[in-house]
Amino acid sequence: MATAEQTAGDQLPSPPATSTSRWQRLGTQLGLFRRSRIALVGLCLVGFWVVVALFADNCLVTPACYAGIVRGDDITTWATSDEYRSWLSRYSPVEQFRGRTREGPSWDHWLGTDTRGRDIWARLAHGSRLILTLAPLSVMVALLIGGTLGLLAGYYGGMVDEVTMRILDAIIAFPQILLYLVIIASFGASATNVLIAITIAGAPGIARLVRGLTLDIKTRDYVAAAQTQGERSWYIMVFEILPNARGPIIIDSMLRVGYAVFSIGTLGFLGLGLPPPSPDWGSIVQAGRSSIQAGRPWEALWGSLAIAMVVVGLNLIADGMSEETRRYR
Amino acid sequence: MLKLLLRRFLFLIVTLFAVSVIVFAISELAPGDMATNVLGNTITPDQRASFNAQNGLDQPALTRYRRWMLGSDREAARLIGAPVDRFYDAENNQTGWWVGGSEGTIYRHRSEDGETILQLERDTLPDGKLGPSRIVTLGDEIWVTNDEGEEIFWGVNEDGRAAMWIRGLNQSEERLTRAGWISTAGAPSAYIPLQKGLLRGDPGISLITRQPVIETLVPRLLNTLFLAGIAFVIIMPLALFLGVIAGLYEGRPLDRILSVGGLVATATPEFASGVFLIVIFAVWLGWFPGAVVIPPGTSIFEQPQMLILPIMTLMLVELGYVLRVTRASMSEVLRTNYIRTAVLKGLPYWKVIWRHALRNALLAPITVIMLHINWLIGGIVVVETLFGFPGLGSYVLASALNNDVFALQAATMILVVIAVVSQLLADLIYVYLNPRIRYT
Amino acid sequence: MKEDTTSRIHPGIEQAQAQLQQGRISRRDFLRVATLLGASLPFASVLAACGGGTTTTAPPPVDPVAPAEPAPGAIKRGGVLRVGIAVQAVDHPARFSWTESANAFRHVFEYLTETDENNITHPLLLESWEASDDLTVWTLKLRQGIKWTNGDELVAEHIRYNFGEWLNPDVGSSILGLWEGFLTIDGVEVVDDYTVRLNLNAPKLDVPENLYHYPAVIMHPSFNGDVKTGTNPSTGPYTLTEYVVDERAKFTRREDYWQLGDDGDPLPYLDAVEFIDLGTDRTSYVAAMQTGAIHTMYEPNVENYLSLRDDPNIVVYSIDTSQSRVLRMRVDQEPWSDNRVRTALKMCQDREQILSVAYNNEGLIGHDVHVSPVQPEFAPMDTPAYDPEGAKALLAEAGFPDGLSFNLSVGTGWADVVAYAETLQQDAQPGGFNITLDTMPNNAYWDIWTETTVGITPWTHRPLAVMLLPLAYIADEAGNPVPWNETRWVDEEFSTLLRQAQGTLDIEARRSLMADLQRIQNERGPVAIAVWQRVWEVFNPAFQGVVAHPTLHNQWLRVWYDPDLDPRA
Repeated sequence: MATAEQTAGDQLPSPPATSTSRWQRLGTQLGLFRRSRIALVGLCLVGFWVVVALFADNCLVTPACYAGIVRGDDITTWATSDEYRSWLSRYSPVEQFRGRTREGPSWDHWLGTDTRGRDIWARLAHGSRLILTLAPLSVMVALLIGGTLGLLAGYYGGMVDEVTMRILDAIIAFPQILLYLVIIASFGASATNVLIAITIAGAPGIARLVRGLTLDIKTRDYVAAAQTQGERSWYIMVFEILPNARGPIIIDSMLRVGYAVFSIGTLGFLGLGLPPPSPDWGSIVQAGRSSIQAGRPWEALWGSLAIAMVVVGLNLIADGMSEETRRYR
Repeated sequence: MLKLLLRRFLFLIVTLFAVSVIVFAISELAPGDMATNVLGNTITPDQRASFNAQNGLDQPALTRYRRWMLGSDREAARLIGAPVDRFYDAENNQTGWWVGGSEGTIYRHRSEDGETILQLERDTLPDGKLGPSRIVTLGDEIWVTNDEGEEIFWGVNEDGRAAMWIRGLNQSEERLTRAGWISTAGAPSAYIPLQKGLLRGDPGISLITRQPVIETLVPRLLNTLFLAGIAFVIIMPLALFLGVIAGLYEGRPLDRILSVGGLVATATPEFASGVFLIVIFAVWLGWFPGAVVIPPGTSIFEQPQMLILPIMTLMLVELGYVLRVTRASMSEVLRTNYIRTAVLKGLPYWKVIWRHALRNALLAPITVIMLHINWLIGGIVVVETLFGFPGLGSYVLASALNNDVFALQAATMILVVIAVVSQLLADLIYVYLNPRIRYT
Repeated sequence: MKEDTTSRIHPGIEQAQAQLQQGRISRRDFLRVATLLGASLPFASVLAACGGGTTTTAPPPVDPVAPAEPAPGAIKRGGVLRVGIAVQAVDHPARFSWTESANAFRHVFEYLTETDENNITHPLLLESWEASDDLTVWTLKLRQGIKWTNGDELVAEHIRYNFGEWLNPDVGSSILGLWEGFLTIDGVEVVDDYTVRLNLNAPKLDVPENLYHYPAVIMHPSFNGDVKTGTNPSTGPYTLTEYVVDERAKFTRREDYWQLGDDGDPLPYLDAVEFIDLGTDRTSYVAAMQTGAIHTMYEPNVENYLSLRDDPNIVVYSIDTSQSRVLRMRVDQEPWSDNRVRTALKMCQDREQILSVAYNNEGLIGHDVHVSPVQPEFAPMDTPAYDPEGAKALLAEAGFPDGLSFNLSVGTGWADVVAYAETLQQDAQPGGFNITLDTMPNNAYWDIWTETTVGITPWTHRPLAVMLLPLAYIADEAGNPVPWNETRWVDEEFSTLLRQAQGTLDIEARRSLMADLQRIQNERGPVAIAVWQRVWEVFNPAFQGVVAHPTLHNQWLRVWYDPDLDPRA
């Protein structure tokens, strides 16, 4: 864990020297993967899909195109534009190959084709981009909201704490899936609403965690020191407390991203996910379920494998990190 | 201890209150008009206005929230000046609201011109059935002058809603009867849809089936509790056991297999693992039924073999998490000084484990298990959908997809109550198991 | 079935017989007209034999008289059929809007007529019918001695009661659309206890078929408004013993049903039929089929069919239909009011590809005309070509040189609708259309099906095109589109021709009218129809005497269970 001195160093205007130290620290953090074998395995699993997501097509260079893909509205352009095709995936996720429906893995179609004659690998690859954008994004927004609330509640205590936590407790009391159902059934299924639902469901848990950490750190000497120095509250919260709480928060976030991937898949299965022909993994598994019964497990198999890989990967990294923290405690 | 209990209980009430507000508010904020959502947008503005008035949707949100929670029958009984209650009409297989107490004659009202009120009377018979109906024309004395100087009459109309007629006001309204929309004259000017309220076990009428939600809800809830109960009883001890084993053999192959296997199973979505289980065990091997088929005249309780695959599916997802928590807790306890001391002191290894380690090691997982009920409910929604199981989970999903707001609200509230109460239990168990808290 | 051969033979029958002799119409066409006009099927077959001609323009070579009946000795009684099907919330049968509901209650209540799997209509509660030469007066003769479960005898007054319900706009029955402009309740005349006369305002050919429109079951006048209650008197072979919405229903054999089986005792052969609702997820039904928990399932889709067809424990029956997923465009909204835009979109359908992707090549190609090749009046047409270039040019001409983006409403519960939409989305791209799929659960789609601008609506099979077209493509007397006219398309010439066709008995004359109707709808119509679906019945082989019906209407009245053949027993 970072010490108070290191944190203080962050506040200085950054001379070149700090920049090297930053690299050094990044190096130390990456060292985690050298020291922890399970974290390394996790990194490989997640990293695989991150690479796939980045190079699923040559769209990376144009942010506008990328945004459009996440929104889902430019999806049809993939079918015709050769410029998007990358070394990683030769086909577009919506391109239908005549007479090649429902095939198993082959040289042309590495993972086979679906009921529409679309290349499953291309769909998985583009799906990874959707999933690996939506899931971390929703967790980040939840982190922003939940973190702020938790920080405020923990720091100020009293009524602020009581009221905030009671409301958040009410949201935590919901089984998450119910919250998704109520929200998405009321507001409709779209990428934005999926993001909102996951954010709302996740924020209270983060707030609770951050509040707990804040309560703990608040009692430390360096916070008291800052308070006597007359630093403003927001300054103490953002620059004294938050950096010292980041370890558990990062671990927690890792797990949350995993659950978000899982949740997006579940929503897709329940018919409340991203609209077709979106290649998100939940929809791929959902579409493949009826094929399993017809003796062609490929689509559902690859889809669930992909979801499992990312969730397991994130879990392993989180495991590795918490083991690491325990070791230095 | 008692103080703590009281405090927790108070929190529970506050939480549930907040939950009910949230559930109500989300449906409130949903875009679109409820009448249109339910009846389709081919309805005319007149029909929409009548529908809203009859179902109390034209009332302020606060009033509707109060009626939803506490009911509207007392308020209506006060206005009518006589008790109102629900009676079962066996002939039409229908339960409806009438004016009248538990015995004697019950009444409903109707007007064809806004001037005379016709009273529909039926006797309640000793065998619980209702006698034949007769119609009586009421005299002038029934009208009461209100603050605005209008002559009004409160009664219960033929649809079983409390209604207020204003004398001489012969207006027409649209009514959605079982035979479709009908335009009728002599319509009431105000309505109170009658219900006992969620707190008294009556969350209203389903907008889709037009039956009281509670009639569907209760059997569905029992089915779900049956499924979840069996799943819980099988999965959790198994998870704890395997977790303890993994913790004892930390770092060895057995531990690796268990914890990695658990992780992978947990990380595979139940909607995928469920189908693979169906294909393997139901289709290929033919060992278990692949869908929950409950023939008419029987209930799920008579056919527990239907539940094998749903429970296996739930097990795959739920087992891993608890297993991992138990394992972590166990290995942590084993590293503590007092266990080491005990072992070094020469106490038999298994005795140390059994007497000292286990109790402390199970502290964390048991709390986690109870908190995990929220997860179990999520799994149950998916599993019920996957296997066509007629439980609360599939009911929630269907209500959500059909925009059946009252059914969705009621089912959600019930599931949340289950979740919250289990969390309270978790707290209590934790307190009981943890001496440090118990004695402070 | 008894037939009084001395009764008057409708001149239309003689005319058709002449055409048959000359080989101008098929035997099947002849049988249809003859039975439609009141000749019983055996009698019509005799007439056909007199006509004797082999056919030259024969559509699918099906022999409609070939009985699917086995030797009487083979029939076994008893057994329970378990059906995987939605158990829906319903109240008034006249307002059924789902075949599932009708399939449930056709076990209990009956129709005046019955259209068989070959699209030929027979009398059921009726004994016979007769039409006046100009097709404006139809005399319906009731079968005598049919008893309701409450002991009453079925009489003409009961039929009038039902017409009263059907024709009452407040009831809101889709049956009303069929009679709009032809019949009011004043035209329903009770002649005697067993005779009802329909005095129509205009000639109408498809009266018997309309009497088999799926909500048109005959109810007793004491009907309490809720068909789910088991207390309503009924005439059918089963009585309702349990009905739990979304869960299950049970229909138990009635001992004194009026139709006799081949073994001389009253039908049905089965003891009971049970409906099991397994939710909206079709894979649950397939799993239940594969494990033998249910004996048949309602409306297997193509994926389900592929899953079940190779299963040795399941037999599959199939039939082509006039059922389709109709891409409909509202002509009262921009830019679809411009026929060029509609035509451009129609040109973007690669029909072969849609048939292959959405239906695994099971089905018939459509022509953007709501007349199916299985319907007798279909006039053969050329398959429209897939022409994205032409579509692009046409769009430019209509003022969209840069293409057109629009939302397509799609119910995700229909896998083939989604497949159709996705294929169209891709195939229409080069034609300049940028389609966004607006997806929703099926129920939500039914909430907006008449309102959405562009959407894909499933339409069920109708035996005659003249039955369907007036439901969806005309205006009522006040000039407003009829309730099911989801596209608001009202074409003067089309409506006039259709009215004419509805009153034209001569098959060739009607077919030439249909050729015009089809041309008009193809050229400026509001719908794109790429494919006519094939439907399947999937069954446990122990159930004998199963026939696939194009509307999946099934009462399983003559189905019997042979335990020796049950692979699960």
